[in-house]
Amino acid sequence: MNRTKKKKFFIGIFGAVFLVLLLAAGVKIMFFSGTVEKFRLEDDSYGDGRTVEVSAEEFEALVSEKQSFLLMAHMAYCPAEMPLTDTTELFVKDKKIRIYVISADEFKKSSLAGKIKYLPTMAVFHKGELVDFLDAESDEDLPYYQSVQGLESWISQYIDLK
Amino acid sequence: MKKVVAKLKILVAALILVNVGLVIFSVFCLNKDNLAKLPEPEVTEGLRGELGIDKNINESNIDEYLGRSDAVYRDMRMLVDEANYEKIGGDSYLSGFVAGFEVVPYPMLVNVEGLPEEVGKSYSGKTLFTQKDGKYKANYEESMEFLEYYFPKDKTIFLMCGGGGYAGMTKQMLVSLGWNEKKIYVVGGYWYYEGKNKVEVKKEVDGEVSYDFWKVVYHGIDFDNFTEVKSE
Repeated sequence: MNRTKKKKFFIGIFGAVFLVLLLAAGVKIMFFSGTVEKFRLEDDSYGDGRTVEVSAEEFEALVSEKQSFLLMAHMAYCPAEMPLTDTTELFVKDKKIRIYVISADEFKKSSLAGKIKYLPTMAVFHKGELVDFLDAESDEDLPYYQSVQGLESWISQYIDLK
Repeated sequence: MKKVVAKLKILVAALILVNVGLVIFSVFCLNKDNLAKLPEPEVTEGLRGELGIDKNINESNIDEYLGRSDAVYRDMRMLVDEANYEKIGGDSYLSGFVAGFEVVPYPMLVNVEGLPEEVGKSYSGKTLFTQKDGKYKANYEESMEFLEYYFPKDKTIFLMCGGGGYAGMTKQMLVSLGWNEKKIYVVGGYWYYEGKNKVEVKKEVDGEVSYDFWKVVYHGIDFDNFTEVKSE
């Protein structure tokens, strides 16, 4: 093969590989973005059907230890905040899993304050990384706040509850 | 000579026109209160929308609307709420407020219900109104007069509290009693406010906490001065 033909051959190969990669990325973006594989919480979260209050420091420790957990941050300055507090208590008793709870003031001191604007919220962490959270200013998320079934349907998108 | 007179006439006419223009300008364009047109109240989405918090004027931009002569600013918290918010990580004390907001405690206007068990009851003393099934019944002859005085119907009303709940309930009550909902904005909660007009009330010195309530313009209610409505 002369040099020109060799050049064209290799350009063709690289071009084909590049096109395949581009196609694969496109397929992933179109069909698989936003889907998260379900994962399990830390083993000791199961069977421990209660909420556990944590400070900002204790929360950061859970993150740095790369734990998988659920965290509810409540807005305690407002009598109308209560829906998530009550549904969380019923949920942990029913599903017998542990959910960490952080107060509004401790939340403000934590690294979450830059990521989540409005409380109350429920946040899902996988190996210390924030996966998703309930947005108190979203119509889409409103049903998840309002009933135990709603909360369960949201959480079970991410967490294996068994 | 005729030319001079003509020129003088033109000069006088020009001076009159300039003066008229200046008068029109000062009347219509110079506005010391800077009363820009307000966007219409519009409830935001989600859980915050359920509280009635406004999409257009809220904690993030209330600074742009402070100090208006056509508005009143009311913070609906108690100075010290009898509900034990510390049990759920909150603060029963009014720890700060936005300058210009005057406190009118909502729990003294109407009975508050629906707090979680561990928090207990809020203020459970006398109230101007009793609320049941969305209807408000005046307990005192002066109840409506009090509301009309502190929430004048001819003014725009901006409402805040700690998280947005009491403010939202206040708007609900006022609208139910005949106020124009388009003149009332539920700004939201002081907890979210990060603007330039914070007035700190809570102080911590050498580990000791105290509260400068003297900074608060507080409108409590002395029910002894009011006339009870006789029950039927």
